[in-house]
Amino acid sequence: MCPEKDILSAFFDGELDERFVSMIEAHLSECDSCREILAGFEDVRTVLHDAEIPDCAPSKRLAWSFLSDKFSSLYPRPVWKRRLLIPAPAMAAVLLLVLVLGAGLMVSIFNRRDDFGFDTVTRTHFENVQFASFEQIIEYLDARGNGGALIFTLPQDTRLQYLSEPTFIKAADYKRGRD
Amino acid sequence: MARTVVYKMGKNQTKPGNFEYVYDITYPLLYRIAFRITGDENISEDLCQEAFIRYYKRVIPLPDQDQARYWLIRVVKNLAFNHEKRRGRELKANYKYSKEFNSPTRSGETELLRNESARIVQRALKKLPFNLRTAIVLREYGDLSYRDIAKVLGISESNVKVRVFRAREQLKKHLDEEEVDVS
Repeated sequence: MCPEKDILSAFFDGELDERFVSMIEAHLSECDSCREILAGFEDVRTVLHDAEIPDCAPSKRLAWSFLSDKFSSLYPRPVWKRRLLIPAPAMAAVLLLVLVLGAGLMVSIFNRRDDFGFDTVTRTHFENVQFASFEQIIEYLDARGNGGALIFTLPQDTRLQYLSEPTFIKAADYKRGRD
Repeated sequence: MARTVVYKMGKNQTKPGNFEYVYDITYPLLYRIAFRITGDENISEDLCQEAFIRYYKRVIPLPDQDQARYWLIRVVKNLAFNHEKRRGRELKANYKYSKEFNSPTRSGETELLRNESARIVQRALKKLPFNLRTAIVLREYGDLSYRDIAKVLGISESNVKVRVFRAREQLKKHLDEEEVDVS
């Protein structure tokens, strides 16, 4: 008895369970009509595969350029070529913030007390203060009560008096001016 | 089919390298399938493009390249089906359905299928009902097993077997009518 044609078709596709393959093969060896059906399948397959399919390469390129345009993360543009989109409300908020902060900063700068903090010490602060001796400078600093960096610029034409060679003193021997 | 290379994509599905890789590997296959189902080059390109857009936008990533391929084929199949339904309605509305359907001089087909036998194959395929056409196209041009076709079409394997067989039978009949030398 001949197998169903759909079984033959599955056999032709190599999709038949192995148990049945040998049975079908045995049957085919002695059945002309089934062999003819198989040959028909083969012919259809040949015709299908011989038929020309247009080259997909141009279409593939076109579709890719469309996709990469659509999804810019596929081909990230260089930073300087990117379009920057800021929503108008966000932009306004940022501008406002800059304005407020800037104004605040200016006010705080102009209202600043001259407390001779480290960062505000400049030459001009000292130009009005005259010191006759080094002790006066020490006293002045002590009176102010806070530290700071001082830059002493000596006048160009100062003639220094020679006292002695500079010497190193040990910390243990240093008594902060006390005898 | 590059079955040996299985990319574990997961969340990286839309990362440039992975997307491009899947695109490179799958586009020709998708295009071939789309072309055999629709018979039109421009439509095939549109369908493939749309499938990749959906793939890119997919929220839940596909686990590997095989799953991505099945998914993309399924999308192209569904898009082709929708397109055919739409066009069928349009053509019917114009009372030109039967004439146009069998016309070999429709745009998109003539220029590209200079080869007469290719045109005949395309016409014979067009005469198949959509279900049978997709089954045989996936088998012959998609290089998919019955099990894979079942997954793509969402039907049982035995149903695939029947559809492929019926498609073959009908194709043979149509090709014989066209007097293509199939024997």
